Amino acid sequence: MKIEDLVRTDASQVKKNPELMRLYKSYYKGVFHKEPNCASCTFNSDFRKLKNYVLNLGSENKVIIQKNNKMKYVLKKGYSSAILSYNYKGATYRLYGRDIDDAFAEAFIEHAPKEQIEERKAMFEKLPKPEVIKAPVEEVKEEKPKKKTSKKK
Amino acid sequence: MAIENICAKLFKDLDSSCVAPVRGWYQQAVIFSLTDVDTSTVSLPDYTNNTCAYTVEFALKCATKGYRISGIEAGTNFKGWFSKTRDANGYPTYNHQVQLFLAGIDADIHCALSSLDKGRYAVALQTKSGEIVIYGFGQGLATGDYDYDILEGGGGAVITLTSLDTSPESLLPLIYKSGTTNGEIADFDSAFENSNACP
Repeated sequence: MKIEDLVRTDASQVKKNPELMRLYKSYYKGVFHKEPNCASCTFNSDFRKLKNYVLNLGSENKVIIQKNNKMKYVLKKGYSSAILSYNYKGATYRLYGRDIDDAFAEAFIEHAPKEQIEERKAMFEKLPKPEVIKAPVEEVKEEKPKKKTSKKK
Repeated sequence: MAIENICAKLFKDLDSSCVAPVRGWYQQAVIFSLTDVDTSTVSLPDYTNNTCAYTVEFALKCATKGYRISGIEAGTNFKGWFSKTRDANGYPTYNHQVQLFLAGIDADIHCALSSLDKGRYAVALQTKSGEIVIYGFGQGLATGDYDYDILEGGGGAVITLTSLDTSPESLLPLIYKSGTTNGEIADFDSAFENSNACP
């Protein structure tokens, strides 16, 4: 269900239906970059907020573009339902692709086994541009040709 | 007037007047041995700062995972519940119980039953609203008595894993908290696997 259809659905229907609630939380997080603080108790006001935001923008694409523009890492569509994981200090950290944020994406690549780094980078359609580190440039002082001074006798 | 028992403090209003809380479990259980738990952190209410928590965060040992037993989603055989009682001194104790369904006869089923009968396990279940609930994390659960008859009861048996009378839980079932923000469902779906190779 598209986000526009969801926000046009009756709020009480969304609240009753676990699948719609899951979608609502997912879209809310996509738009506002955080889950609704207390999905059940502030539902009505949060749902209205999402509805106003989406309908004022006019289309789902604008929302997604807005979200994607803010994120440094954007996964390719096929991986949104995949579980991404990385190992760090003896523990395994994992998230569904649709739930990742920049910090997780960065760690997902950073802590990949060496042979998988490129493979993991290829899972993203958008990656932050590598920072160009400028090497310090030594100023070369051109030696000015010494003027020959003719001694006047 | 007596001094208030600090551990009996309530934190907030709870309102179910408009919407019934979620009912129902996904028809699957992830079972893991307590001996496979490497590290764990149980968070309980902080009565000094008035903050509520009733969660467990844990990691299994390297190269270990839990095991998933699934049933048909249209069924209701997979569920968890708990009963409160008091010990001789008046302290509350909890009997955790998880029910699941096993069917058929083959070596895998018998191996699973044999292990469940002999060991102590914790069981994770997922509510339809997405909460992951861990039963038996403190003392473990073991199978209760059952009749396994493939001619009756749908070709198998409803197996109940329960706290032992001699070692009930001192806590309610714990809500699972992932080491990754919002990673609870992904962890459950991966059976809490720790994919780190053992040194």
